[in-house]
Amino acid sequence: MSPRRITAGLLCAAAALASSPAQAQEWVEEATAEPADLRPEAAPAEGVATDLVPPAPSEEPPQLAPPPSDDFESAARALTAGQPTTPRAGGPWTLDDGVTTEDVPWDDFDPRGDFYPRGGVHWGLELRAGAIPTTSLSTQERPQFELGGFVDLRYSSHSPWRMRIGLAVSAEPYRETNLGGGAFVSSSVTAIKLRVLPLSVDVGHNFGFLVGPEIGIQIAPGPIEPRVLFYSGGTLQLVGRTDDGRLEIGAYVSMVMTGVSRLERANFGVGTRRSEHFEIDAVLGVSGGYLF
Amino acid sequence: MRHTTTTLALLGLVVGAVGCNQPTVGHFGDGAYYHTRGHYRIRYAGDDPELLPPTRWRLTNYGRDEETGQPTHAEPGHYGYSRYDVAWLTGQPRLSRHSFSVPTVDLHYAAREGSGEIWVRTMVLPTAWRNASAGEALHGALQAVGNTQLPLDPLGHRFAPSSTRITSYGPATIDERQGHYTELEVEGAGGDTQRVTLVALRPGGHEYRWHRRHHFPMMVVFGCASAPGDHARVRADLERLVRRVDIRR
Repeated sequence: MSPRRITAGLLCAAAALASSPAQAQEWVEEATAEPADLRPEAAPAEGVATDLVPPAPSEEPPQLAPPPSDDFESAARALTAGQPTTPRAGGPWTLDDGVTTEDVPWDDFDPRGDFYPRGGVHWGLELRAGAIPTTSLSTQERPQFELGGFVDLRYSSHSPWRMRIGLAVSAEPYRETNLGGGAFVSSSVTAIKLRVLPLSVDVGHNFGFLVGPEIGIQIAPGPIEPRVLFYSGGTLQLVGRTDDGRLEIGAYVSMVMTGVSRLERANFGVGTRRSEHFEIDAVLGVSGGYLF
Repeated sequence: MRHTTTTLALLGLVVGAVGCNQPTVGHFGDGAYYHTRGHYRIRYAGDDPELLPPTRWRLTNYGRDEETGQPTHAEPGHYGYSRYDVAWLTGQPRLSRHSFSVPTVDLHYAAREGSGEIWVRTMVLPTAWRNASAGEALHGALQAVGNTQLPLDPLGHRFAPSSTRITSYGPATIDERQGHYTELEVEGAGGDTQRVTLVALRPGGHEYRWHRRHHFPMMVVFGCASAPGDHARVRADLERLVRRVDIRR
């Protein structure tokens, strides 16, 4: 923006407002007649007309060049001084049908733009069926099933962002592999997971994207005795929804840290050694859920 | 690096998709029109959004669903946006680089037959006007009529008048709140005269949130304009509309 344009804009705005406070007070002082009855059949009052100052002409389209705010303060003060305080005969123009928000609740849900289901909090059930297709443990590929419940919280009524907190129980077939040399690898079969998905977002009305961490415990039978292992991972889920937002069908990728019990019997069973560690496996699957 | 790029691309996709769904002005809900800022609603006369004013009015600033014909998304069109300079609103020169735009009208209706238009406008006011009454704010804003440099024109810059006269004014009550009305006669450059009725309301307790530290007072203006011969009918329809306005407590 050139300095010339800025200067022109400032001058133009100042000229437009310089006479405004006085003019505004003039309106009020000259308006001595009763205000008109604004009902349709009534005519506006005669004899109270007051000219407004037309805007200052500008040689070129000016940029917005706001005047100092104290100009407006002056205008407000001038108007305050002359503001009519005595209602006209019959009182103020009443534009109120008497219906309140208690009579008609404030429901600002936008049926065409907002996200279903209505309301900020819902609970739901979800079933997942997945597979652990690859593994670094030399265990066999195996399926995994999961059933869980969740609470779904929308951050605000118009926001597509939501958080889902769920508790799920998963199960997979027990797998034990003899690695030779007296070493066995066994996978966990049962897990209890707390799932927190704070970055869930609706994409349009019919799709959703959910991502977040999981923590939990999982129970591994183990070659000798059951072991309880801590678990942490994450999940990423893409779902399609029905128009009412209640039924979800989706696909997910989950990360599983499979707990492993390893039993090594060296020297023909003399000096048995057992250890546990974690290995990361991916779970791919499909999910179905319903929000109540 | 590859993971970072993928993550950013996914994030951009999500943000883009989310942004497309954000209403900019308001929406036609079940039973009422609700402004996005949540400070007012206008109940329909029946169950149909077309009955906000009577059917002899045509909504001009909203796009419609091709299948249902219902208004769905705001299209400011030639009414455009009013640009507010933050330094001007706050009186703080250090904010001179900041500005924001607000659709000039929330709703705009044109008469299907004859002359006339009805509009609803939410205006952002300077912070110095925070304690001004509706009357003070409306009469102050009237100084900006026809001045395209100022965003405060309650007529929405739809007129470039050669002269403007206030013919009457006084208090009004809207949803149990104190408001103000003003009647004007606006003469255009070609000598044609329009009669204008404005009803202003300060939605106390609601402010325009531009930044967590900068909130600005607002004023809602309900207006109608027409040729003098049509004005009684047009003003009656405006009155019916304003009577169904609720301000959020």
